[in-house]
Amino acid sequence: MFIYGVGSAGYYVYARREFWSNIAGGRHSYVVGTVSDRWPAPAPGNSVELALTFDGHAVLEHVFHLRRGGYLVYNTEEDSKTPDSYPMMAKPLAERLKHFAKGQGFEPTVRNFAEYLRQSGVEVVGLPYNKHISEIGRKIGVTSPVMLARFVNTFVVALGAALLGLDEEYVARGVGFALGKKADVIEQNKKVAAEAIKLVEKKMTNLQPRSPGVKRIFWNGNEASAYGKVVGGMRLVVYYPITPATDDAMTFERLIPFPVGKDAGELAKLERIGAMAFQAEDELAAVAIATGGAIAGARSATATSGPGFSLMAEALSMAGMMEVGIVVTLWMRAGPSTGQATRQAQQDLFFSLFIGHGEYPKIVYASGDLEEVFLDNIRVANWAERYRVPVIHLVDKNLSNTFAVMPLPDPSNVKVQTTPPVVYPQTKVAEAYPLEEVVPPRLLPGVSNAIFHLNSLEHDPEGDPEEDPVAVTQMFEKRMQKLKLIESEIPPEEKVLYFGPADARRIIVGWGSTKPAILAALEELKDVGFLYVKMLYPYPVDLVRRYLEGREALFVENNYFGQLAMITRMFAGVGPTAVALKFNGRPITTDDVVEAYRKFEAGQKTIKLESDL
Amino acid sequence: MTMQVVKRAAADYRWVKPPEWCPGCGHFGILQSIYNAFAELNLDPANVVLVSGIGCSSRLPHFVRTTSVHAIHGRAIPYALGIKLANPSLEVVVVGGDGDLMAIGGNHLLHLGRRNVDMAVILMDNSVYGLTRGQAGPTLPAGIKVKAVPKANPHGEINPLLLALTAGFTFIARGYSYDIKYTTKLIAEAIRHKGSAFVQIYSPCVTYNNVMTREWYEKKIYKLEEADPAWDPVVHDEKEVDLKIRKALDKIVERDRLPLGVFYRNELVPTFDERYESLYDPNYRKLPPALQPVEADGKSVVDFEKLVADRLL
Repeated sequence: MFIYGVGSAGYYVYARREFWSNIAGGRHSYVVGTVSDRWPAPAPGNSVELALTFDGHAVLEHVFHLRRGGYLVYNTEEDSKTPDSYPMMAKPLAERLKHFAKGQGFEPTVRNFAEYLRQSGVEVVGLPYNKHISEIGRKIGVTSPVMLARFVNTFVVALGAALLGLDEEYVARGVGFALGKKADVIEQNKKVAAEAIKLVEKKMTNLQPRSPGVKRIFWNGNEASAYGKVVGGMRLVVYYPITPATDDAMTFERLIPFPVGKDAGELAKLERIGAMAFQAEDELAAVAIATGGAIAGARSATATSGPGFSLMAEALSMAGMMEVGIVVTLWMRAGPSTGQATRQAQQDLFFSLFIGHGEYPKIVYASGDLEEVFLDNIRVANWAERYRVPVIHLVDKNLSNTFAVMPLPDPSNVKVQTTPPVVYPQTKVAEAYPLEEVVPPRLLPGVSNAIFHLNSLEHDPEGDPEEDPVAVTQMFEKRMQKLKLIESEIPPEEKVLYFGPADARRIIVGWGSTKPAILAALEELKDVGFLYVKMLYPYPVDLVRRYLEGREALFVENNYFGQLAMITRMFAGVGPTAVALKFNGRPITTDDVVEAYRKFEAGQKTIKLESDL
Repeated sequence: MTMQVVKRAAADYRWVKPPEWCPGCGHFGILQSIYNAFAELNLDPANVVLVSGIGCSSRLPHFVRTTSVHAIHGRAIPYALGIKLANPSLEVVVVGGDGDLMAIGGNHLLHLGRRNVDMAVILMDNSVYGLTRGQAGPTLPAGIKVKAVPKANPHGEINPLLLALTAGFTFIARGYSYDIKYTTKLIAEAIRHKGSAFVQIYSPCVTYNNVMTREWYEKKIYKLEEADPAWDPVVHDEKEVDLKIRKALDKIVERDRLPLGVFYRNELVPTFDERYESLYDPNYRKLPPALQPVEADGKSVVDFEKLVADRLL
């Protein structure tokens, strides 16, 4: 509601949601972000200027995230509560807070922590929420406690809007987005907002409504991925529910049937076209069903996270052997095992590279921000069909729960490229794997008039089992030649990107969702370059080597091993000067990158990042 | 131009390379029945996809002149399902052994049944793992010792038809591989059936199952319609469903004698196609996922701005 409201005043927003992996009604979640009049709005750091809290738990959890000069909005009705009042608060945090209060010589109440913040230079706006909401209710003729409870969100959002200098109109727009467009609901909430705004005298800024002059979209990473799938021609998306991947497939499902464009060729006469979203019984089935769909000729994908991806290993090896192109959108989360289902990590790079037994060609490609998530979905759909290999599209929890108001990307930046199926005039037996073609002809059952055998066993060109050593060697080499083809056809700018001064002596190297934080940090760090790697397999050895040679390189990663650093050494023979690693389930922030770089400059080789926002 | 109607014979479905099972293997009878059934239905071999997993039985598609997918162990059903979902006009048939379909792939069998996707699953049941030299299969009864294993089977057996009925298959039948004529009829009916069809075919393994042999089966089997000329497994009216299920169950659980034939058949249950068409996509069968153009001159056929209309500011 708040993000949309601020966005509706013409601003860009970049935010992410953090939440506990538990069942509804437990610990709270929060959203942290930045508001800007330009895009990209910078990635958030380790502290905030404005904290809008609903309860004392949130105040306590974020005591050390508020910066001097920042604003805390909180409910004074929670003043007397302590960490022990909140049964869902993490025990180690409660202990840290109590220990801190003891050291400061005060009782660990919400009031005392708010006072501590005030003394530390934070502006504290404390209001008795429920008392005010009841009063507002009386004014606008609402007295039912159930109805009043529904106003809390609007009330708190309005307090935030007031501090930013925005009026109730923008809160009402947020309400309209979050709660639906029912006019009476919006009107009522608008009145609540107007009254709430009057309660705030202070102002941290005075945002002027502006017109950004470009079309903007409000979405999150899961949604950006689903939109990319729709535009990129995915027509069978199979999934088994898993956090944080499910919303990718479910958004795709929600969008069926899709609106047809005017330039849609033979489809233009239709208003809408369909597709299939399919919930499988497990991930073994999900990947197999998607592969079956691709065999029949549909662009097919499955979206999953680590535990589900583990179950897909055998099927990916088969897709490599059988030469079927499918996309796995892998929403990485913090492992190992069930790990932290709702938390961030980049731990599955090794696994993506080496998943599946035997040796077979594949593509592993990572996206780093929402625009990339969207456009890369089109790219990977193209590649799966073009090269007929499994394509693992690496994204993560951080991206899935990034919410942005941002310029609408232009889908025509990536062409949708298809390979027409072979159609014989008369039914014939056809070779599914002719030796003279690196990528086999596109034979489709029921379409090509072809009778052909696809095989998971090593096979001859006709798809029949083959173990003759000479024939095996030929077929093996033919399959593996796809890696060279992929390397030669995909342009360098889609594999790695370099930001910053061309002659920087020191560079930061990263991949995936650390990109926005590293880019924001570059603004603060002088004379530093950023080598951003998107293509992880086949690894762009020459490009990476060219950027790394003669430079000191700090690899910044959301994992324990420094997996990109290790594969860079393995493939390119160039190692890191230092690594900065974070594996506490939280994303790498702009402040983390700056901190890591300072330590790197000071000569530290292994830097552990531990910020907790 | 007039369309020429090709009438195919069983021999037209024979692949150039000959089958390679042990001499006397029950699977030869199933292969011949498949040739016969395809010919009887006059299936276009370029429109059929025969899908299998791993095992002696899963080699069958290699011997058939239709399009085929020889996939990985236990996953024949989901691969077949993906093919059928993407292009429902294809004739998709799954073949596999009891290890492949009932053990490693058991979960997929359950879930195919409840979806009632219009395809047939043919279980080539010999109660042993032949390809890995004779371990107990999931349909081997407890207490039986087959020759390759050191002791009698400590596991109980799965009754595949009982499982299929519970899972929601709308066609359930059992055949015997050496009775090619009868097996042909059952396979043809299963393929013709509108909905998920399951056919168990007893197919003795002459090499590893020295207990459940041809003689063993032939002492036990009988045909439902021969024992009871009034036998009618078809659900003619929705009110009959419970009754027909009970009657089928009664026969499915017989152990001392083993009935063959069609146990249950219900075409009144909507197929997955029909459900999907009514709930998601009215054009699903006309323009399924595999047959849709997705771009025109490199541009997506989907109107992106309309797609995201509710998210634009």
